[in-house]
Amino acid sequence: MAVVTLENLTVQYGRFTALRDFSVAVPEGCVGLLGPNGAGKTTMLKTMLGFIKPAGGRGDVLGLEVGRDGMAIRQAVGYMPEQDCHIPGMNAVQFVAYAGELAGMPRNHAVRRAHEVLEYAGLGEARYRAIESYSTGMKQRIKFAQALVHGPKLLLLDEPTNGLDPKGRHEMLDLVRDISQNKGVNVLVCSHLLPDIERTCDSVVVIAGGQMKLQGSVSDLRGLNSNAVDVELREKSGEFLQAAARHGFELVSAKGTWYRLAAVGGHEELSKKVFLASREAGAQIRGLKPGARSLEEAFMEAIDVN
Amino acid sequence: MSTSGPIADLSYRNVTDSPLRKGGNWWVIARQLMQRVVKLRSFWVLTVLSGGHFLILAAVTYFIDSFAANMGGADFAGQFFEQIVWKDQFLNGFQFGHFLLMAILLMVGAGSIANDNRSNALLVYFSKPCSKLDYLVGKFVGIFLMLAIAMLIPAVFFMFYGAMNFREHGFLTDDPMMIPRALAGIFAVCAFQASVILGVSSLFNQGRLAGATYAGIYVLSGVFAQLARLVAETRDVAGIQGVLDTIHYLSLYGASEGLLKTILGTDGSFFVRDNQGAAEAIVPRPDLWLLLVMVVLPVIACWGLALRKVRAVEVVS
Repeated sequence: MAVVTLENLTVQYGRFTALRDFSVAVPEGCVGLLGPNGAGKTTMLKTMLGFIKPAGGRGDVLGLEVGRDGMAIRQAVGYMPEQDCHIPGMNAVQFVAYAGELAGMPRNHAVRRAHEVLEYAGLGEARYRAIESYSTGMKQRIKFAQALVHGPKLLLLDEPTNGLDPKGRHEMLDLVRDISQNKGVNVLVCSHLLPDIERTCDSVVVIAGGQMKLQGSVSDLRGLNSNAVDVELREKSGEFLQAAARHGFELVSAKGTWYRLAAVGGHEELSKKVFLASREAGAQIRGLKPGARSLEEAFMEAIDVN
Repeated sequence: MSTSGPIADLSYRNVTDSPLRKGGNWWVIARQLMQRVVKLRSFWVLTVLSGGHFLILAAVTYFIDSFAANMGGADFAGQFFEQIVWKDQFLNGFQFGHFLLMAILLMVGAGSIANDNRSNALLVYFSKPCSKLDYLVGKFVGIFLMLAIAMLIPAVFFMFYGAMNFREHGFLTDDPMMIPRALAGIFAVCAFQASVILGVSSLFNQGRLAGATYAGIYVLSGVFAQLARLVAETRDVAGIQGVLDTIHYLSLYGASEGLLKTILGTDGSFFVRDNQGAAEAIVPRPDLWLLLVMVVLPVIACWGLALRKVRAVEVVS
């Protein structure tokens, strides 16, 4: 079931069209919204929340209509904005409890929940400090906590690892993974950092130039289920490629002594054919693995090809 | 994820069944603003100082009431209290403390929206089920109530003091509607000034800039109005006296004063009613239509500005 469905959505800022006839169905789980800077990712999130009125098309979030049910959508959704945001003069507990109250929670519930969420987000005793004194990593965590405080069914995270050092990034991605895998919250992670998406998300939507370019599970996009094998030889060998062609292989790409070959058949069958071809060509195999693209390759391909 | 904290929640789970609070978000926002202000010592100091007129008046009346027999005979106190127009003292109290009230207003309201703009707090507000109207009404109510508290504390003190001590001198009987009128006047002035500063604050990204702009408008429009009065007092301008009187009210201070005069039903007086020399300097209360234009138009304009400027995202068109 799709948690977000957008159909032919068009969003304009004056004459500039940020999203053009954009259609997507975001499945449950942790989904990455991937795209270069200025692709329209944040615009999509803000349109879903009702901050921006679309010029055309329609959409729904958790079964609620975008534009018409803005308040109900924001009740059911948590949003972690890309930029720093806090309310001046508050400490973390006050801020997150206030966010909970704004989401409709009674005060005592909101305060209790603020402590729980801040502890979960790893702020510990720092939650009693004024937010203005926080480091970038702590500010990211508090944004995460305020988005989570009211128990949303869908969490929208806009560049959650922005400005974080490697350790902070690692911890934030763990949090994202945990909330989606173990706590039953659907998460839409918006990022231009492919490793972040690859690490946390089950599926990916690639967006560029205000249009949807590609959508699928991470494994599909990386081609893990395709009939390709990556072969590393001791040294380059034209004879090996000729032998492989005789066994039905097609050369997909070659990089140094690495060859990606594709053919019809299961992985075991393909492996046997590779060994046969190497024996015929007298080439020594140093490595053999199922052919998989990196997400970056899939992403670049999506952007270029389309 | 942290498990080292004293109340580490190892069994953290997402909560989707939290009970919903009764009442609107506007009150949550107003309460937050007020909680911040009541902790400021300067707010309370300014509140007491702005009530200086009432404190002085209470001291003078107490002194005369207690020691009249030693000063000018038994009838002196009676004659003195006969001269005082009690309801005008609420107007005089405002005139005495208006600069301090402006300082309170700047402290409470200048950064109310501007500081939220600076820290991107609007993204937090509007990503929750909180409407623009909730936000603005909440900010308005917070500013309004804090300003009302600052004006009411000295005024209510004087009301109690007068009602307890000067009933026989006409405190409650000269104008039986005086207390409701004074309260209504204070609330109207607070609502007017809170609306204006809300609009000004929404235009800026820094509370200080918003405060400086409001103070500039307040002071400069006041200076302009005073200059017009000086011209009226020093020259033979019988033909344009009405125009000059109108100009007096074309300022934030003047509009507030006009509002208070109209609601109290007085033109004002200087402490005692037979001060002929000073009476010429008194500007008669404004025409009701003029007052409506000078108060209602800025209020509508400021609310319109705030509604237009307050948004979760910067939309370039």
